[in-house]
Amino acid sequence: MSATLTPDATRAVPRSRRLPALRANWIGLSTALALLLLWQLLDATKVLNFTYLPAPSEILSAAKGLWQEGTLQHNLAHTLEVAVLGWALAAVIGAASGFLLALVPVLGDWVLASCEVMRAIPGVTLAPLSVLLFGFSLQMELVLVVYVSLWPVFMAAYVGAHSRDPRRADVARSLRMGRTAQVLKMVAPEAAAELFVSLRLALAVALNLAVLAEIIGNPDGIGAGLTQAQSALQPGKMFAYVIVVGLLGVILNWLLSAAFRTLLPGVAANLDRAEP
Amino acid sequence: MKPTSASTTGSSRLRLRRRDGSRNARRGTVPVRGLLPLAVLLLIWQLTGGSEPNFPPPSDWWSSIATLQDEGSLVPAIGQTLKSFVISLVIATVIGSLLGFLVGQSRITDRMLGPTLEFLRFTPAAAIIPVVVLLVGYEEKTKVIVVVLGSVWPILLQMRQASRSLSQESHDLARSLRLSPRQRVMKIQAPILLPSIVLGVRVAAPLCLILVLLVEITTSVPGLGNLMAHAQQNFLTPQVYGLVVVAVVLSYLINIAIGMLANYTARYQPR
Repeated sequence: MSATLTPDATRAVPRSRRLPALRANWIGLSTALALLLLWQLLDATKVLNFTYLPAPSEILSAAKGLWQEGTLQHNLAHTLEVAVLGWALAAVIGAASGFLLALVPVLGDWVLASCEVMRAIPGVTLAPLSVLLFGFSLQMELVLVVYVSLWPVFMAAYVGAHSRDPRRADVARSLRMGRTAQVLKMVAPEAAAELFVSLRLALAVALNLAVLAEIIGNPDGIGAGLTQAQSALQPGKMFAYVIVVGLLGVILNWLLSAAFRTLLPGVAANLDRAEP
Repeated sequence: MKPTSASTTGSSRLRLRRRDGSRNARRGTVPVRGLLPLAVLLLIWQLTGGSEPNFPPPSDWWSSIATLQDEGSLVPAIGQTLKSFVISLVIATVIGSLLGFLVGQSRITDRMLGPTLEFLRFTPAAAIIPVVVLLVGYEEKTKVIVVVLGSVWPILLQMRQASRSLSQESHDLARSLRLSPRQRVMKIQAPILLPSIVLGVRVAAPLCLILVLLVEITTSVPGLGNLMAHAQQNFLTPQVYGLVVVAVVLSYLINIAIGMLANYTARYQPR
């Protein structure tokens, strides 16, 4: 692991070890609150005059209502389950196949171009197909989520394991590292940063696809709640769902970043400087 | 990377091969023979398919697309999708660059808008669609709003990064060279910022197309995605497969076009 730590990265570690919660962005949060207040004010004074735009207070009471009915928890749990399960499956399959193709060049040569074509399929276009093949089921949602969020992870694993520093190979040879040791101590940490970025992307994609699948046809989940609220013309509930699923995305992303920081502080610090 | 004198002529062949494997060079060098598994799969599919309604053979895909073309609905749908794509991408580029520039220039703006932008960024685009439909109705506008909201982020983030690096470099340089404001923009800021915008657009473009299709699939706004949803609702399975292939070709062509555009702008980078 220490092989990946450039001197710069080691210096940056202590800063990034601090829990993100301790660095809460109070200015930003109060700005968001101020924007909400402004929205409420504009709505109360009828400046914002859309037929179906609810005020934040309406959204809050709608959310409260949904919570008391229990539908909010139910839908949230469903979407969360599908997104996280699909994401985890995609992560495992994508990373494993990406590494495999990168580490076994013959296989890569004979398969990679096919993968590139499959990857080029715009994910959302598979939604109608998936509905036809699997009907309105959990399976349909999962297949869609896994297939689409698989590719970023696959590419990152492949590229990460493939683009090693040539000097590393020399180091490995002079240290007489075996194949396994090389993969564990050099290839994997090297690919870790790339892999992490892709995992974050895949999580966002998974959540998106889960909601899409639920909108198109599944009877459960946030997407289904949204369409029900839409056909019942209840904008308060719709906004409540949107805000909940947005917060879910933020929280999942934050959890993933925090986990990555704790597990691989060196790589995370490098990454922080590259893209904050 | 500096080649050290230690790597002698003996290993130069080795180094060359490895450089091919590096990330930038690799893209163009994916061996074509890798297409074989897919071709074999499609061939087997063609030869054995036909009985299973969910897996119509590829020749059926083709004939169903030909039917759509004869009805005269394929080309207009592609046109509508492309039109929304271009409009949305242009708007996303303008908004993303401006907002990214602003946020990158001042630390306080960054911190103020941070959580709000973060929230918007992680809200699934699919979830926004019903809301926008309710507010705006089933219109072209709906597509553009959702797509811009979803695809502005790569451009914004790239621009924020570039804009940050700019504030340190350019300020001192422009002052010591006594540049006029116009010169400062043309000679320092634009050359630094342009590649970042281009990079952001390259990432945003495929996303943009996906989102256009997404809105078309979930609403009844006309376009390629709408044809797809229509085919699905009428259980025209071969047509759905065919339209997926059309979408793949479209996204491929768009990627090429954006790549050409990127190369074109790259010529204007000063050394």
